[in-house]
Parts: sequence; structure tokens; C-alpha cells
Amino acid sequence: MEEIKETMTGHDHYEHEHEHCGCGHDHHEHHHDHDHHGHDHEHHHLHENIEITTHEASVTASVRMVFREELSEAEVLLKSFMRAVAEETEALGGTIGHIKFFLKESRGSMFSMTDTEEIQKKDAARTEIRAEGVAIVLGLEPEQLEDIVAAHYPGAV
Amino acid sequence: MKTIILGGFLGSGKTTVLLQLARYITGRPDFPQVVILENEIGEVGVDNEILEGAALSVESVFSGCICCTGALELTDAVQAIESQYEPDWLIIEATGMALPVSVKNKLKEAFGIDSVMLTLTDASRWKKLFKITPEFVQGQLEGADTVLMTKTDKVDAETLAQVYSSVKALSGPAQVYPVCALEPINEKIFEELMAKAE
Repeated sequence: MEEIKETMTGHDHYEHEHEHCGCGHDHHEHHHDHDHHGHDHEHHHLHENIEITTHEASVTASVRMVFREELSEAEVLLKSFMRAVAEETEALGGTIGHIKFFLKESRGSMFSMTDTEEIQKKDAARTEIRAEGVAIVLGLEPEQLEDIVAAHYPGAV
Repeated sequence: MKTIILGGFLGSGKTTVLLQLARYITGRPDFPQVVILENEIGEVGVDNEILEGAALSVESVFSGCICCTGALELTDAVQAIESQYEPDWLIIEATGMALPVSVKNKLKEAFGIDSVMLTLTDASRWKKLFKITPEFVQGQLEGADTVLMTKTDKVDAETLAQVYSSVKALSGPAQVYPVCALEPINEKIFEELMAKAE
């Protein structure tokens, strides 16, 4: 089931219910008001990180991911994901427009004080590796692109 | 505020060319201020990360194409840039699904700005894209002042000649230059483009 909804942001957000999920929730505007019991949490959280929009003949998947692996391994996983999306797009008769991601590593620190003198600094135990990007394709249905991205999604959920 | 609109299909090398163009302008003897308006069709930005990493002033409009349904965001963003930065140059990088001439027309209507247009075509994918969506790729060339045929290193001489003829025939009076954006682009091309805006 699908619905194209015109939005104030100037493009179309694609919404559909996943038949293989069966939770009955709309996976693109969802999950802030239900009790999280009896649902597949991984599935829900995965789809919170994938946004599908359409514009003219193109379909865009905006994807956010967090990796628990080391940076070098995250890069391998990201490249493998991008290649899989590209190959499956063509296998389904679509055309690759542009698939691009930005991978970054950061380490945070907390600063705290309880008096007017000392400021304590505590470094985060590990670095955080995130990737954000898009897969823009032509000639696929929004549902097809979302299924491809979800099937190969390499980040933690 | 002089304005350059940078257009071209998805993945044609717009951001790579933009980096060179912005560095060229900011490196001029009078140190002009350049602001980049980045438009992304998706919900997340990638190109802005690259441009901000190069210490350029970047404003972004996500989630919509400024050539059509996002036209209001375009005029709001240009107005905000003008009042916040008062830049000498504004470079607008359109999405790969935009018709640059529509952006130019909207700027003319809203602000009376006569922008110049630099449009990119990907030589390695021209034939394929022309077959899939001929009207759109032709439309992207409409009104261009300068056309850069990019990724020429990825095609053989015969294909390059064929693509050049095809692009040239559709580019009206615009100059068409084959380039490989991984190498420095001849500064005369940028100079010629900027002269049209000045």
C-alpha cells in the first residue's frame, strides 16, 4: 500500500506500510506514541534511519547510520552497502543517479563543575562513527528503493 | 551581489568544480567574499560537509528542489544570505534534478538579479542519460552561459567527440569546454564566466 503526500518541504514523502512487518504503524512518521511491546524494535529503528522522498522522476533514500566497528571496518561496510544498492538498482531496471555518503568519526568530552573553581573533563570511552548520505535513483518505485536500502543497511539499529 | 548558478545532472561533478571555482574567486587580489548556497534533494547533507571542511561559508536548503517546489526556500535563503553576509559573490549549487534556468528566472523575478549559469554535463553518462530522459538533460542546458563537459578522462576520443557535438548543438550560444574536474580547470574559463556577471 502506498501513498504519496505533498508536503511543505517541496517534495513528496513516500509512505507505505510494510506487509512483512504487520505492526500497522506508518514507518515514516511513527513510533513516538506506542508502547513498543510486541513489535520488532530493530525493524522500527532501522526504518527511522531511512527516509524516502520523490522528486520528478527520481526517488531518494536519505540514510543515517551509526557503526559500532572501527573506522576502517565501517568504511568497508559502507562501501559494500553502496555497491549493493547500486547493483540491485540496476538489476531491477533502475538507473543510478547518485549515491553519496559522508563518514565521520568523532570523540566527545564532558565538562562539569560543582563549584566556582574546578572544571572536570571526562572523555567518552570510544569514538562515534556515523555516516549520512543519499541514494538517488531513477526508474524505481519508492518501495523498491526502500526495500533495497533496508536489506543491506549496515549500521547498528 | 553577483550570482553564479551551478547546475548539472546528479553526479556530474558539481561540488568538485564548485570547490575550484570558490577557491579561484576567493584567491583574487581583492579577496572577495563568497557564500555558497547548497541545495540537496535528500533529507541529509553531504556536499555541505565537504565545502564547510574547505573553510567556505555555506548555507544549505535540504529536502526540496529550489528550481520548482522549493522556490520559496530559495528566495528566503538568498534574502538571508544577502542581509547576513553581504557577499560579493553568491554561488548556488542546484540539485542534480534541477533545471538551472528555473532558478535563474526565480532570482530575476524576486530580486532582479541577473545570474550567470555554469552547467555541467557528464561525458561518460551523456549518451545513457540522453536515452533515458532526453527532455530533462536538454532542459538542464537551457540558458547556460558556460558548459563544462566533465569526466572526459572516462571516455575514449571518439565518444568524446560525439558527446561534444551533441552537447554543443543543445547549448545555444554557451561556450562548451571539455574538462576533467580532478585536474585544475583552466582559470580563463572561470574568468570568462565571472566577466559575464560583472
